[in-house]
Amino acid sequence: MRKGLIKGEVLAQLTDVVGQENIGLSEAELLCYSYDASLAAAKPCSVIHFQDISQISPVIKILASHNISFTPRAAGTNLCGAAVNMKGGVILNLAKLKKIRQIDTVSQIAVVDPGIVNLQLQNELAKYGFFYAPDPASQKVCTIGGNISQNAGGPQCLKYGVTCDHIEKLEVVLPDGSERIFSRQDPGPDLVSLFCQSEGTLGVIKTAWLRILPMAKKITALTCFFKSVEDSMNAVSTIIAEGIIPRALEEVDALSIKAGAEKEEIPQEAEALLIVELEDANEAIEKKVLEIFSSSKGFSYEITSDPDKREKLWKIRKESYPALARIAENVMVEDGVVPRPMLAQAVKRIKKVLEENRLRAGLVFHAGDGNIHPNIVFDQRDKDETKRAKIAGEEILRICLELSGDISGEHGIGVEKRKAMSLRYPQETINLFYRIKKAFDPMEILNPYKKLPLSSGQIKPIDRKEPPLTSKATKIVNIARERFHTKKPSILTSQKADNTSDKKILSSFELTDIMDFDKGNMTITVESGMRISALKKFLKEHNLDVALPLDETTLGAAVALKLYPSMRSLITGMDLLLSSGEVIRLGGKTIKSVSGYNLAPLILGSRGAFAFIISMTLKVYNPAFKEKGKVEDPLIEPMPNFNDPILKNIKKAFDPNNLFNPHVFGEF
Amino acid sequence: MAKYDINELFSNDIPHLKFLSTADGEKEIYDAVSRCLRCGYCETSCPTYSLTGKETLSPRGRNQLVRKLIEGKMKPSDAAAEGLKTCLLCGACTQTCYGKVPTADIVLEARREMSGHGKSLYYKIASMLVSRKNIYSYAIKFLYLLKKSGLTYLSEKLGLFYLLNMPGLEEAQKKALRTPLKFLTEKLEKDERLKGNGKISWIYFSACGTEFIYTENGLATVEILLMVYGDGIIMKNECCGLPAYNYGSLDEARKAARKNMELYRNISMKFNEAPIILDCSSCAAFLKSYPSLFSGNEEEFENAKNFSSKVKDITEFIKPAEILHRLDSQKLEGKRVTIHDSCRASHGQGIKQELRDVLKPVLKEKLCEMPESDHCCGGAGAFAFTNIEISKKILERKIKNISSVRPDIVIASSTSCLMQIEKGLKEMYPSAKIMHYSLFLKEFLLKN
Repeated sequence: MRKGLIKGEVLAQLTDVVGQENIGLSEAELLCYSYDASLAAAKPCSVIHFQDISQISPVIKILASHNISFTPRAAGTNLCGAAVNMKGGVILNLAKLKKIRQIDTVSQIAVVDPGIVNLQLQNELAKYGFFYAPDPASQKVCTIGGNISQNAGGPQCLKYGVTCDHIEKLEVVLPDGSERIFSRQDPGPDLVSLFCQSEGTLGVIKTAWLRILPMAKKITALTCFFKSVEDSMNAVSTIIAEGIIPRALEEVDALSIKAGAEKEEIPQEAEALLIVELEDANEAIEKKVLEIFSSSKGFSYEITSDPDKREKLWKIRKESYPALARIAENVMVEDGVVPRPMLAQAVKRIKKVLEENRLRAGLVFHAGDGNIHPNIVFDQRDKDETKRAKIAGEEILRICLELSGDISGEHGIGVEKRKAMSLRYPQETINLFYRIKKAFDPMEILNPYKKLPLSSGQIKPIDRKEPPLTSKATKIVNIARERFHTKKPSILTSQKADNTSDKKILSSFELTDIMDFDKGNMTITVESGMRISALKKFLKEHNLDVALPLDETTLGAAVALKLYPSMRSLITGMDLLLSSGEVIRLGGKTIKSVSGYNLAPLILGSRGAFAFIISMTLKVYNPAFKEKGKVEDPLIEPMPNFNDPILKNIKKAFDPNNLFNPHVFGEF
Repeated sequence: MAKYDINELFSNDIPHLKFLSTADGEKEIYDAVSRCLRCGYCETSCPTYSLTGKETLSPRGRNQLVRKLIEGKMKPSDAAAEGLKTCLLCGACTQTCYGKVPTADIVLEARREMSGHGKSLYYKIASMLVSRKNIYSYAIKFLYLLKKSGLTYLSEKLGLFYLLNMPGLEEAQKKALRTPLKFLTEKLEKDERLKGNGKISWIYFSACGTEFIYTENGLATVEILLMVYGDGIIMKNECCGLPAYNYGSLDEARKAARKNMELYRNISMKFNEAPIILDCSSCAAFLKSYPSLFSGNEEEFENAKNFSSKVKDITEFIKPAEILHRLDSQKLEGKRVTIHDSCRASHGQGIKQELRDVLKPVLKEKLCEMPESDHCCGGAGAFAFTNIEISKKILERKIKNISSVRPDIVIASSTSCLMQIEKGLKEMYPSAKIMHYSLFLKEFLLKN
């Protein structure tokens, strides 16, 4: 694979579709598409510059028919190497596909091409008083296609959720060149969510329907300095634990403050700066935040709603990365995430690692969702320093994992964190991810060698101190194992039933335990047999609530039948039992995580045909600080089309022997 | 300084700048280019990338190309040359860049390396020019400037006139859209007010574009200077050296710089130290960058630093407090005005707010800001005829932005922009005309 791959017949066919001038084969062009914003690099054999979205499918059909691998790429700002073709195949340059097809302020939808730059879209929307919530730091250059593939976050995502929560519909080109549209309205498993965060390994995004929102009327920014990072972290934890949901909750450490603030006057003893932004907030909430500042030993705080002054307050945060870039040849932007109460501990340990490796780094946090970005400065030409930076990077991820966190909050896995995936997930989970990838791309020609570790079983995953399964759950796991050996099918239910192994039933009825309740993190992990009403009752005793209506259904049934589609954004983690008896633990207590494939939403509406839900982790909130949303009526979905080959392939990835609810898919 | 030996691998046959000046001090070219972290934040600011979506035509791509060339990991090729020759040198990327990587300077150095004096570029395009009238007249004007600015050898050696079917300069002059009968300095020399009796408060540096093509702008600038700032003199300067720096050789550029610095020294000894005022932002920016021409030679470097500290673009020199009371908008008769920020003013010298501080209080809502006012117009010196298609499309974008605010007058401050936008307006939006800042002040705002 490499040179000379695109010639003769292939070249002629491609030329027919895009024209000779849009096929790059020169050494200079190949060099320019061998990198993205990460340290990963690999030279492709060709670059295809698309001029219209209608060219994507025919080009992919040609490449697929010749078994040539390809990687989609737009702005190339990826921080983990997702936009580099590791197999020396073709780069699909989508950067010029940047049309905004439609802005519909009535149904609050924008329809766009994949190459539209995030900020350009925002500017267009602003004209109508609307905005698109995900606002990654690189929004000036990064594209919507890339944002979707990476499930990008940003400061505003604390309040509004990450990219996945804002995609209504996707038109994608699959690895064989066929086109499909996936919508949130489709009954059954949520394939839109699966594409978010897939890092261009399942399909190429052709058109996206985005949810847009009316702009807030008033935004208040509150800033405060602290004498130690620990103090500021305490303030963060208190704000979160109070149930206040700011629009953004950002923190910068001393090195970053000093780098970012050139002329601004910064108090001498400032070790951390916290920025809290509230949207259309009443005075009571503002007052509460100021109180928390003061009780956490904060000083010289400021509060303003004036847009110009707000921008000034933000300047230090926004300038910190640029300023670091000025003091060093390279900046490695690490990206780890922990449950919010663990932040202070994480920072302490990360600092120690940096010190041990003689490295300088500015720490910048999306503190509100536990996302830490240590920006390590080094010189790539200094081999030893580069090595130390990489070691420290890995060590930081280990720390996050040990604190029940994750290896990426928003940047993704790509090439750079493939090894860390082995630290994060046990082999059976990685195998499941791999089967999902193969369900879409059996020839493995779309963005190959990404997201998953290349070696298997060599690295032991780190103990993330997840709550252990209850004895009742373990019993069910054992029954599933037994049945797997004898290839006996099971009917999954939440009704009361006898689970003994000679029967055909697998019931979650008895799984009603609370496995973990972390008030400081605002999450709860409960078993799937618990009724929504019981969960709400428990939370009420702690002055909290979950954004679900009062319902006697169990959580497991609500998920399996997709009674409340919005549950998708409440769930941060899910424990699944496969028909093979393997236990898959997805996500966890972190608010953001983009490691692996986004599988939990697939279970939503899967009608028990994919996996048995053991438990799930849900976000909770404090009703005192949140407006009451509309009460959602349970959705009675039409039967999904389980003859869809994609759903069938996914079913095979989860349950190859059709042992769970075999009637759903029938014979295959 | 030379932490990495590779800096020396960069060939010595072609004279290069010893150091490039960056936000982070003087840097050898390899160190400067290594500062590119590949974050890609520059991409959307680059006119050629925005147009094509091609990495090879982006600042990050150009830096990586040069880096690989220096590291010997890539051989010079046509495709690499394309990436380098399509750079407008507008500097918008450096403005956006966190590490302030001086991409334009890096590209220039690499051009010197790859094609000597930029010869091949001219040859390639020359044949295309003949069939395109607008580009043709632009080319003639530009070549005319080259010639008049003392770079005869360049235009002649390149054989461009020959290729254009223009064996003689006189012929070329006839074809130019407008060339004054008398040049600026000739006119000003006779002005009694500029004899310099006693103390002077300014020295007017006549930029070639103003001197040979846009004489009226120079006259306007001098009128304003006399009226607002009192006595001053004409520098009778050489070409600033920018064409030689961009398209010729560094030696030529240095020669021009030395002459101008010498001239200033003599004037300041005869009279007194005073600011050097220009009304072409490209030349002003280049005069301000004289020190980098002499990096590595401490004495000349210091001289140049002193010289360049005196240089002022007219757009930054005029302060609201000194002129506002002399302005009103009566003569404007409600005309709508917009500002095009020339690259060498906004990116090159960081001038943007200054002229707005003067214009806004007078024009009020009649000053209609166009979108992307600091996006290059595609003129960029010889770019308009070395990269015809790209230049045309960038110009279209500029005219589209201009037309979106329906102005009657567009203000600019660099000769190249005046030429390029004049051409674009004529073709696509004839209801607006372009004017230099000085001329606009004099014609429309200054009270009699």
